[in-house]
Parts: sequence; C-alpha cells; structure tokens
Amino acid sequence: MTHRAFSLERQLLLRLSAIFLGSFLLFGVVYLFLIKNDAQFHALEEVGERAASIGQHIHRTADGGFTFNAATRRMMARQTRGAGIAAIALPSNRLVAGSSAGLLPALLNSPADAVLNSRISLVEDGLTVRTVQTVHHDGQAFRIILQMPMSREQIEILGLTDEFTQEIIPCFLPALTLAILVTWLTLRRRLRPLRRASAEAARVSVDAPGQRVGTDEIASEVLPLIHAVNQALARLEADVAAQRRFAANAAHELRTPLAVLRARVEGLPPGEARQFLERDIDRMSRAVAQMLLTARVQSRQVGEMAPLALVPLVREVLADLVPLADQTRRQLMLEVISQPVVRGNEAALNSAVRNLVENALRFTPPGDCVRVQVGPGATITVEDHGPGVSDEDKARIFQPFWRAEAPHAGGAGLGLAIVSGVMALHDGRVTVEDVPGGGARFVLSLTLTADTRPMPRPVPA
Amino acid sequence: MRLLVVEDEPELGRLLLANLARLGLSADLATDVATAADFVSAGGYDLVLLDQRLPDGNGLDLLRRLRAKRNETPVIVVSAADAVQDRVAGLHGGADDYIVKPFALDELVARIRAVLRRPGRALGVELALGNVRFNCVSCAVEIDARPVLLPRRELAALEALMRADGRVITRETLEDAIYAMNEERQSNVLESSVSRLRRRLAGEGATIEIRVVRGVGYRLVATTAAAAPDMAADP
Repeated sequence: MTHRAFSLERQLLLRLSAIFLGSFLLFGVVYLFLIKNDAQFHALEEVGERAASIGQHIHRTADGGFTFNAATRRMMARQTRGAGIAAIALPSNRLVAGSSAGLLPALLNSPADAVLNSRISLVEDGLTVRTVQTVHHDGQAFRIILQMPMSREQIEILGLTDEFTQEIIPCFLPALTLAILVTWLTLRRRLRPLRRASAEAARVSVDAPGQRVGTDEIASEVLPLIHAVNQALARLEADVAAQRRFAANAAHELRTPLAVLRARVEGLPPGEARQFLERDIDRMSRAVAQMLLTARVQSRQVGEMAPLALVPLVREVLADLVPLADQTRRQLMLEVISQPVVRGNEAALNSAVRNLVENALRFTPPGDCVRVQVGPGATITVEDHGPGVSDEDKARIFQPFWRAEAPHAGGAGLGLAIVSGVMALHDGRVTVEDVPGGGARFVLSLTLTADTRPMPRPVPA
Repeated sequence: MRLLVVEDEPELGRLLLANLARLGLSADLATDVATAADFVSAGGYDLVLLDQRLPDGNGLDLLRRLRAKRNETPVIVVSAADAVQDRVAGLHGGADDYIVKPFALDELVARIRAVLRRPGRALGVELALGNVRFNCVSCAVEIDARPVLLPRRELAALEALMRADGRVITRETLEDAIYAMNEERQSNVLESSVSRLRRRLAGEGATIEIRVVRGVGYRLVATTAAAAPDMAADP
C-alpha cells in the first residue's frame, strides 16, 4: 500500500466534474428517448438540406445543359431502391438532370401538387423521404426533388446528432462549464483556510510558545482536527514548560548547596585537604553545569539565533581557557583561515567550542599545544595529540554519559553530547577524525550566512 | 569600603561574609528584597552582591527599581541560572556584572575589584603590576617610580592589558581599545603597537611582559614573582 498524499481539491473536482458530465449524458439519452418521435421531422430536415446542397452544385455543361457535380453523380450511381433525384429548371419546368430509372417517370407523372410537396411515407423497414426545394444558382432557379429511403437506425442517429448539436449542447455546455467552475472555486475558497492553518501549524516552535492554529473559516468537519492539534500543542507546551521549570529549579537547588560548600571550604585554612576539596567541588560544579546545559540543549532552550562571527567567539573561549591551559601545562593556539559568520546562538556555540577545547586540553600530553583552527568555510577544528578516538568509539562518543577509558577523563561524559546537541540545533554537525601521528581532530561544520567576509584578516605571527 | 550581600540562603550568606571579611572587606547581609531595598536606600554601600531568587521577589526587580530611582550603586548579580538570556536580562536591568553559583571566592573578588575600578567608583584609579603603575585618570605611567611617556595607541593598549588583570585580552578587544570610535582600521597596526610597547617596557626595565597567545590575543604577566596586589591594600 502506498501512502502517497492525494489532493482533496483535485479529487473532488475530478469526481464532481465526472458526475456532472455523466448526468449530462444520461439526461441527454433520456431526453432523446423521449423525443424519439421527432425523428421523422429530423429526417425530412436532413434530406431537405441535402437537396439544397445538391442544388447549389448544379453546373452548366459545355452544350448548354445542366448536370450535377461529381459527388452527387457518384451518390446517384450508388442509389438504392426507392431513391431518386431530379432537377427541374424554372420557370420552364423542364427536367435538366435526374437519376433513377423508374422513379423519375413516377415523380414526373405524379400530380403537380403531389410532386411539389415534401412528404414522408412509411415503408416496411423505415421511411422514404421526399423533399422538394427551390434553389437559385448560377442565375437560374431550379426545383430539386430528392427522394431517399432511410432505415430506422439512420433516422434515429440523425435525430440524435441533430438534437445534440442543435439543442442539448448549446443549452447544457454552458451549464456544465459553470457547474465545474463553481465547484472548483468553492473548493479553492473552502480549502484556503486549511492551507492557512497548515502554515500556522508549521510556525509552531518550542521557542515561541503560545502559537496555535487559527479556527477562522475552518469547516466544521475539519474543526475537531484543528482543536485536537491545538490541544496537543498545549499539552506539549506544558510538558516543555515543566521540563524547563525543572531544569531551572534543579539549577538553583544544585548550585546553591555547591556554593555553600565552596564558600565553606574556602573558609578553611590552606592546605592539602582544602586543595582536594576545592578540586572535587570544581569537578562536581562542572558536572552539574553540563547536565543543566544538556537539559537545556535537549529542550531546545538555548535562546535567540543571530548572525555570529566565529573568530571572535573562538578567541573569547580560548582567552578564557588560557588559565586552565597554564594550570595543566598545555598551550593553546588559534589559526584563522577565514572569517566566517553563521546564524547561531552565542552561548550554545560558546559551550560547544569550550567543551571541545577543554577535552583537548585534558587529553593532549603536558607540554603540548592544542591547535584550534577557524575555517576554511564555517568550520572550527580542534586538534590534540592525545590517544585519539578508536574507530569503534567514533560513533559512540557523542552519546550522553559515554566515557573514555582514560582514568583522568574527569568530566561527566556529557561534553561531546552537548557539542553534538548544539550542532543539531544549528543544523550543523560534529565529526571526529584521526590526526596523523596520533591524536584526535574534532571538526564543527556550520552553514555560512551571506555576510561572511571572504578575505581573512592578518593573524599575529 | 562596605558591601551589601543579598542572599536568602542563610548559610551561604554567613560564609560569604566571613570569607570577604578575611580579605578585609566588610559586608552586611540582607535575606530578602524588602530588607535589601531598605539597606540600599539608607546608603553607604560601595557595591551590592544581588541574588536573583529571593523569598519575596526577584533581585532583578530590585535592581530595576534602584536604577529607576537613579541609584547608581554598582551591582553584581549572583545567580544559579547561567543561560545567556538570564545574563542579558541581568545586564540590561542595570547590573555591572554577573556571576554564576557556585563561584570561587577569587573570581568573585576579581570581579568586585574590576567593577570598583571603573572610573568614579570606590576603588583607586591606579592599576599596578610588577613595577609598573598606571593612573586611569591622568593616564600617567610610572615604571619603577619613573614617569614614562607613551604614544596614544601604546598607552591605550597598556591600559587595556593592565585592566585585564592577567587575563588574556582578545585581539578584537585590544583593537577596540587602541582605535578611536570612528577611526579607520588598518592591518598590522595592532601588532606594531604591541611590539613597540613590548620593546619600550623592556627598555625601561619593567618587570612585566606582554605574552602572545597565538591567534587569540595578549596578556600581561609579571616577570618577577610579584604577588597579586591585595584587595585590602587598595586605597
């Protein structure tokens, strides 16, 4: 079974049009059946027209006489029993052309009024139709007498065609066209609120709560769906709000005791115990901060997106981390290849870069340098010379609470999950590859915005 | 100098006061918005450390009320919320700085000092590192108690570096400092100003040095093992 979406508008329009057309045809057939008795009239009319047409095509021969044209002569040659044609020049009443041996004498010898009147006589399998038409052609008046036998079928078909072309089509075609047009316009008009509702639903986002699908002009059949969607939105929004409230409360409830603990420890006399405790509190604080950040990233609660230059952002992060690098006897350096501008949230991207650089500082050997690079394009690369990431771990390290085997890892195992979450929020991605000679290279790839300057600015030596 | 600590968690407030007192900073404690408002309007505080979540309201509302009444007492907002929206709300509300719980006492004191060093604030206008002194008002520089004259850009760079108090200052920030508002920026002006300043400091026998963090920025370090100036020692 396929799940291809169909267009309601197209289907309704096609089906209604088919119904209109079908009923039009049905009506036509019934109508024709009812007016079948008019068939004789149509037959007479048809033969009359034919006689007139023949009269138009009489032409003079070289010897001064008259003859029918080739088509009429061919028709005459095929004539069957009971058929005949005669052209009588007026006012002389002289027969100028004619056909059908046997018929003509009968025609001509009949009493004048009998000959000169059109008539229909019933024969066993149909009718014989005789028509008399006076035609003016080539400066000469003719009386054309045409007699044709016609079968019932011929007469009925003739009647049908005439009725259709002369009565039914001129009458019903405009009606049919109008019906289809009105159907189409009504469908379009009535489906427009649905399209608008779809557009409104598409604008719904956790970052703009309160957005609902409007019910103006929505058809009563669709209204329950819209209500259900709006109720679902309200429930989801309440869930997101509850989750965010929880995160905010958790932030307060976890950080305040940590602050108390920290203040208490800082009041202790300096010594080894205080040093250890401060380190433990740092570690715990980092873990709490990362969990809260993860919760925020997962509930997409990162705030506004704005055009953001990556080089100053990375510089700020690195400037902040220089003391940590000093403390752990590592160096930091930045290489600027380009000056990308992306659309993003500063705090979120700041955390992503910070997490990568903190990781690199942790894993690269003491005395070594962590190299950060901005560009080419909207990429940020962080490279260390630590143990690297094994191929089987490359897919797993971005999952929450994943921990490297290394005993000194320190963090809560959320750093890379945060990085990957932040990248997802920016429609970007984070990849990890090996550095030749050992180490890991993390690459953040984002999308450039239009206002990126192509030329790099000079970098201090 | 007197600080007001607004903190509803009694243990944290008590410990903060004790720790600040050990550094020679006396402070009072208010545990709710109403008390804090009374204390501040009584006057006499050089700086307020303001918690956000308080039993009778939000610290930021108090901050807005103070600023609306043209009370310009410096305020550092303390909060457990570190989302950038919260920081921005705090700073737009008129806060001078923002610090997230849990914080190290060193960091808090560094921020207090930085806020109080701004022109017209309680702390002295003189910055000192190693044997270099910088007067923020007169822009006079002394190395080893000898006055030294510096060109405009070098002077601005030195001030920015000394204000950074040992932290790395990014190229962008330093560039902002050495250029006047509408001045056209040229490449390499920053590098040449910094390298001239570095040579001059060495030539004058300064015991401070400008270190480069490649690609990131610059920082000032004391080359002798000079202890960071104690907060209490500031006039």
